[in-house]
Amino acid sequence: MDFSEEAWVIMDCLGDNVIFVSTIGADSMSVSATQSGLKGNCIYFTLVKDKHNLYVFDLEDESISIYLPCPSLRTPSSLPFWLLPSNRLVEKQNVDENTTAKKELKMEAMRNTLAIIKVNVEKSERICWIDLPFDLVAMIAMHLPLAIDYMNLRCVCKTWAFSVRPIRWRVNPTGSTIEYPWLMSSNRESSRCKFLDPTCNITSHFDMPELLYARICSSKDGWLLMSAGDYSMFFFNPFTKEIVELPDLTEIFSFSGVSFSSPPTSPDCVTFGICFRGFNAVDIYFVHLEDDAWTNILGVSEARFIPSKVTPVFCNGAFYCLGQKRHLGIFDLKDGLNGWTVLCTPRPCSCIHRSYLLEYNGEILSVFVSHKGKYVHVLKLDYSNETWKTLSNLEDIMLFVSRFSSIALKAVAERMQNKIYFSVSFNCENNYLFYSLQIGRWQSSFGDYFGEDLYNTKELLHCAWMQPTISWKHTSS
Amino acid sequence: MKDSFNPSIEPPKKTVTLVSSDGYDFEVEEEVALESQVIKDGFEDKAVDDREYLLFNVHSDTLELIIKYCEKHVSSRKSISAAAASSSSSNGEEALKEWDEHFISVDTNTLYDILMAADYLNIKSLLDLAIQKVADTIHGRSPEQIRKKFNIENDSIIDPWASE
Repeated sequence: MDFSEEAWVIMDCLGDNVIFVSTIGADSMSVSATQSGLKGNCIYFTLVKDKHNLYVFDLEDESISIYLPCPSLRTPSSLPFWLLPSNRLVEKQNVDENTTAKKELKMEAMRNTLAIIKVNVEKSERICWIDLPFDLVAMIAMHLPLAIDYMNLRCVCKTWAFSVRPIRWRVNPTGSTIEYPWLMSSNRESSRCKFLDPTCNITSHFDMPELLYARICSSKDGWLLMSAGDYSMFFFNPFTKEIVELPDLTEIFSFSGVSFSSPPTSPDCVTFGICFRGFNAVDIYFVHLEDDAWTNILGVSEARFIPSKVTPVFCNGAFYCLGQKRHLGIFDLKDGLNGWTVLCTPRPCSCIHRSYLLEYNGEILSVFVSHKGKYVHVLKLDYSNETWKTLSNLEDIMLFVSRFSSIALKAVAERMQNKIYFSVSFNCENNYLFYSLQIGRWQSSFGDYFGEDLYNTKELLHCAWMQPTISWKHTSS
Repeated sequence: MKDSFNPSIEPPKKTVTLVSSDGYDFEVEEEVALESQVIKDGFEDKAVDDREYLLFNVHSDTLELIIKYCEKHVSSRKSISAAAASSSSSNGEEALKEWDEHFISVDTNTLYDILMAADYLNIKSLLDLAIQKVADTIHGRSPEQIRKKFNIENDSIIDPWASE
């Protein structure tokens, strides 16, 4: 709250503070993180539905972690509330922490001096990888198995970058040579973005000023649909650095889901956004590439359709949107129809944590994950009967799901078959989880997580799976 | 016929002398020295009694390793072809691969020396081995980790996506 302006101000960063939010509302509080020994810039909260769980939202990397602090607790009859322990206790803890912190500092200092000695010794020798002849660096680059390795090599130093040509991304109309997507994530506050290769858990960091202050809204075919500020939207291709601007929105950006039909390089690209209007109506916005402004129409249906925060999917000339109660809204663009229909597909369960919509070979698939990840359901739309059919086996298909883009692909390797890859990590940055439908368990790519639920994991929200429809080639000399 | 060893018909081994950058003489068999394409290229032009090579770019520590590598490769090539001639089964190639793997498992400084020497002397198999080792070391590491591993200072952020 900005009292001088008498207005609410959106805070992108909490600094050192942590906020505790209670669903009762009466006992929310904020404290300084360093005084209480907690990680700063986080919101701690609990939910009405599941009283056991503790959630932490980290504003810095936009992720949600889920914890079960007291596993043996009986289901409490009342809602949990936050309690600040007496100052004496907190202070005592602080004293402990201070001494350990001091110890660590000393250790660090010792290590530094050791490092200095070591560096001096090494400097006296004449070994210098930076002086490696250009042709040898180029030869090394030719032996690297992955495009990501190649890009990382170029980032090491200027000499190496000069020795190795920039990656030649070529438009590959027959499809991608990288046969699975990478998980792209960024933080709005900086221009740094990360790409994770899920098959070998390697991340690359890149500097892309285009991403500063912009939000990922959707992704497809190597393109990102971004929003910046309240009204502006644009397409961005991180591989070729192309930008395609869209007309400004007439209303403040408030879409539940945004999607586009084809890459913005194609003339029939349509961008589509949906938001809830009230009662049984939704606001539908769409724009063709050559249009000067967005078209807004009101979608009215008999059933009450509340769009869920799921990226719509384009399939057979129509955008499919998932409703909060598993209704399916369809916006049909074929023959300039612009028709809105809602299929009242049934709702087999109420307790949905996350849902994802995908398209594979002209079929609509959905993935539902319960709170804590206790179950994962994959369903296929039976269009003629207007129902969802459960799939117990994906056979040779692999799914990559995230908040802003989900991709279904034929598996390139047998070990990737029948698995769903999530933007959820365990313990460390590169250790991402997948769910194996065959054994019904969550597993981590490092193999150290094997479980039925998602406790102690961290879900990255501001991210998208991206499959470049572009190939890269080693080019010598 | 079993391998019979008859010293009387064995010709006396011809040797050449390799001199390291720090002035040490290494006397090696001719065929071992000829593993280096550079030595091989100028070999016939040189008089038999003048077979001494000054290797200004190769330190004695590295030269010792290089000679060890070449000797191993010459001898195992012989045993592999002998095994093939007598059509007895042999896992000589696999064993050599294993030996190579072990040979190249060195710290990055030694690897640098081997790489530079193999390039200078033009020993293709050793150069390939060293290059592959460096590539394997880079594989899966972030730029920061690569810098740390090879002790390289970060001089700027380079955009790897940039195309020409």
